[in-house]
Amino acid sequence: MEKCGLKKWLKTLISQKSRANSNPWVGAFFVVFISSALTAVVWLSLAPNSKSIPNTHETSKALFPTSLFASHYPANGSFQKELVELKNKNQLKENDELEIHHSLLSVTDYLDIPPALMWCLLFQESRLDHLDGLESEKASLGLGQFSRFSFFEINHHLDRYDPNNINLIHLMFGRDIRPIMAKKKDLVSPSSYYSIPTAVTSSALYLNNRYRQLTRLLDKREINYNRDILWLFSAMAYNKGTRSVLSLWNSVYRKKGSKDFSLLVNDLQYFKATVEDSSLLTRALKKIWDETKARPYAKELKTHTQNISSCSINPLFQTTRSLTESAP
Amino acid sequence: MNKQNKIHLSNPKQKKSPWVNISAFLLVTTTVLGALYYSKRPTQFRGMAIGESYTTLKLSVKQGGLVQFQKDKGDLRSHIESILQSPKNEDEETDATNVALYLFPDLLPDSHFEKQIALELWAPLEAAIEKKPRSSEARVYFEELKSHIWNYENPKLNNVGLSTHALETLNIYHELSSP
Repeated sequence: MEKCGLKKWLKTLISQKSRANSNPWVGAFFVVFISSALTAVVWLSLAPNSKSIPNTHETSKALFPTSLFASHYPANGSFQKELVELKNKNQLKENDELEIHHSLLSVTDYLDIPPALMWCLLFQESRLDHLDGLESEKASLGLGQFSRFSFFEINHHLDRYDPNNINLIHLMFGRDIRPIMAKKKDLVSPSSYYSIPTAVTSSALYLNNRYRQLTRLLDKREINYNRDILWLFSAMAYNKGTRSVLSLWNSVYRKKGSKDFSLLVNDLQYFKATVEDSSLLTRALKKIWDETKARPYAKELKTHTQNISSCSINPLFQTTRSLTESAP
Repeated sequence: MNKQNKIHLSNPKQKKSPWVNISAFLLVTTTVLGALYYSKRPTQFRGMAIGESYTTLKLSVKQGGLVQFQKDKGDLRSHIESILQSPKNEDEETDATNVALYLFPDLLPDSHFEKQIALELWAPLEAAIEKKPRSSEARVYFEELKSHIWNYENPKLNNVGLSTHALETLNIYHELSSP
């Protein structure tokens, strides 16, 4: 009885299956099902996992430039206007401008100096007049406003700060051209600071020395810093001496503590707020000079730093005010 | 009986507190120790304004020679060290710090950012000049010293000028290195 029932059930199933095979919808259903399953498997295997999701820092890097410095300079309107005026009045010749530009790109690439900062520093120092001081008895001369002590450092202490310094001179001139001097009677000599490639190279080396001097102090104390902000401090040290920068560092470190000091060498806004604080700058410089000297010197340092920052920093990181204002 | 008792109580020989002896002992000891400490401090620079101490050093180079200079410099060092340990006010501390920066940088605290620069740039040159004073080598060392200090302060040559301490230090070593 049971066996007969089973046979009947199998026959019914087979007959149903054969009818189903003849139905085209069943085949279509199988094709859609299998292809969907395969798509799902491929999609799941290619889905991003947690490791490949970029973190916010990387996202911000992608959205914002990695360097604080502008790729086109001068970044501020006032220096752009002044540059046009200098060219219109023929105070800056096109050939000289090109020669400055080419030399600057070579030396900044070799020493890893932000080109915008180097250009703005030279513009602030001499308005790109490589013959500045030629017909006067000024104490500071040429493109980078070198003093006799700056020459002494380049001629005698070049290897003290960075062993790569001498290689740059060989790279640029094929030989050691030192001693470099402000040779009034031989302006085009490679040893003359009035020669543009020599002036750009020497000034970049002097700036690089300031950067090495400052970063070595922070490295020794294992204090982390933002390289670009340290280049800004180096430009300050170029103009007003490493001592002025260190006096400011000592003041911030002693009065505000290590957390604020860390912000000073890492956060652009904190850096700007600090160097724009006239009373803080004056207090710091009063540790070196008496008030009659410290006050005007602090004012000069503030103006110099504001001008270089607004000229060299990417406009994305600046306010409209800082981009339009500058003082000589 | 009452009178006798009163006399007895008011007599110090009879009723002497041990605290009197202890206080007297402490007073005498601290006075003696204080006087001893004060007498051990360098006499020449005590109470002297720090600016004047440079003048004394310059005089000792000119009139007393190297031996006198080194003795006076040692005295000044002790004086600056004691001020840095317990300055009376901020001005005194700043003044002492500036003298230490150019003459005794090892006395500055490690947290002071200028210490390392001074130890590397001019302390060895000053020691070299003192080792061979008034020699041609000393003159070469002096030129290096001058360049380091000028570049370090980098003042506008005709406006601000070097700080007093830097200038005085250069004057002293100029004298010591002059043949």
